[in-house]
Amino acid sequence: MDEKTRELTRMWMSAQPIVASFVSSMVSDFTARDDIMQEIITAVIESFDTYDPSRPFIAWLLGIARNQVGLYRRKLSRDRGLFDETTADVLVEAFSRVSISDVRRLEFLQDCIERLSDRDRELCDLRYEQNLKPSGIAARLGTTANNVSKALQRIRDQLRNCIELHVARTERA
Amino acid sequence: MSIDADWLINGHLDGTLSTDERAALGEWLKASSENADQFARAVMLHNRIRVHYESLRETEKKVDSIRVASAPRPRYSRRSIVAASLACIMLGAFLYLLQLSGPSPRAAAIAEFHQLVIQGRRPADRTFRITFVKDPSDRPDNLGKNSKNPENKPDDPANPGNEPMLYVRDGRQFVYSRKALDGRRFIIGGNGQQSWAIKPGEPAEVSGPLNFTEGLPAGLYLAPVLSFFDGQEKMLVNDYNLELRNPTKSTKVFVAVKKPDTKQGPRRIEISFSGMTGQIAEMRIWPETPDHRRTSHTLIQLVSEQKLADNWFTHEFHHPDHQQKSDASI
Repeated sequence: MDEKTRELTRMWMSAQPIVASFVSSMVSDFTARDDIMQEIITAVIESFDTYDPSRPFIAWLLGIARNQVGLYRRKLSRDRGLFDETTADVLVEAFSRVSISDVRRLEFLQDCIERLSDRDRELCDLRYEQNLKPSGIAARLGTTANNVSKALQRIRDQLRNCIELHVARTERA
Repeated sequence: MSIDADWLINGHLDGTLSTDERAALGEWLKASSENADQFARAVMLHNRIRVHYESLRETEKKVDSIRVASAPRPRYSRRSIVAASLACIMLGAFLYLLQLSGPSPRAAAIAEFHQLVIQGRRPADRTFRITFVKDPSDRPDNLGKNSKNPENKPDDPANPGNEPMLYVRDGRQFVYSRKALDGRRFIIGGNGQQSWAIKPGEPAEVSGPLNFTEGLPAGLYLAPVLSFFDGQEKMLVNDYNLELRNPTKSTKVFVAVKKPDTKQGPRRIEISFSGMTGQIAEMRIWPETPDHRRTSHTLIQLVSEQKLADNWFTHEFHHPDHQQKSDASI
């Protein structure tokens, strides 16, 4: 592997979670999102020669991602995206501001999930592993969709706080 | 406006927002960069949780399938191992893709193709002869050796020859004229705003800009000879494996082979063009489904860049009666 390929690989692996998050904020369909990510990888490889190293790599990647999401929308001939073009631009800027260190903070997530209660882990299993929406989870657990939505919101807050705590401890150490 | 941003963000993540709520979230995001940053952080976390669980699911499947876990082990430990394994697999797949594609050949082909599209849209009238090649020995190797008609002159539409002709203006407007087996001539055309069709003995039918383009050989895959809208060439770039042959020679050949998972479109397209000027000499199109009884492939050859009449691309020019039938199928 030449030096350039090694460099692209390293940069992509660091930035991939940000690009994936941007795409998932724009496209709800999981399969479509995976297809778009493949197209982005191909486009990144093809156009890496044109990348100007003086520009932020993540912003450059998100520009490619933005184009691929747009192509996906046009290919379908109907707008299945979640936001309009202006909002998409706002989100590109917002995700461009996410740093690699922001991504690394999320590495504490696994430990935080282990600390959840059994009930909350079951909810996460149903939502993220089985890909059920709140209404489906509610039917499974015999509660209301509204209750499930609130519980999922609380769990995410809890995980975010747990990660912040880990980061603070690490910084103090 | 008072809105619960956290509720909207979480609703977005769970796919439970109504249209109005989604619009409200969009407005909230546009209201300030801090809002957008908060949203981005929430999506990052959500996505990471999803990846965590997907990794678990995939790796547990692998572990089960190869029956490695012969003895019960703590779930935490197994998850860590399989998550690391999955990361390696993802990295390997990425590296494989890098090796497979290589940054140069396909990128060079795409860059050249975009130059061709730009060249094809420069202001000019071009006349192409269409030949449905039947000879099975006329393989791609013979590219550029099939100039059967050296007469570098467009047909007179009032007295056209037997071969189908395609007339293109600025890469956007077209007239396609062909004779049926019974000798009757059919003409379709379009000027970007509307398309039209003329059948023998009938008034012209006029419709939307793309309605009659289906009658063209290869339809929307004719770029860079003919493009109806910006970005049309992406269909070829996305759905085909691209290769540039003879990249340093005076005549280059652009080869596009349909990817296995692509459903629609010709199975192969070749474009021969001048390496000096980018001028297309000919385009060969192999149909989606082979039909050896009829044709091996369609050959589109440039025969002229003569200026055509200003109103050549209107149906009135080609229809003696200047009649027009209204069309409700737009």
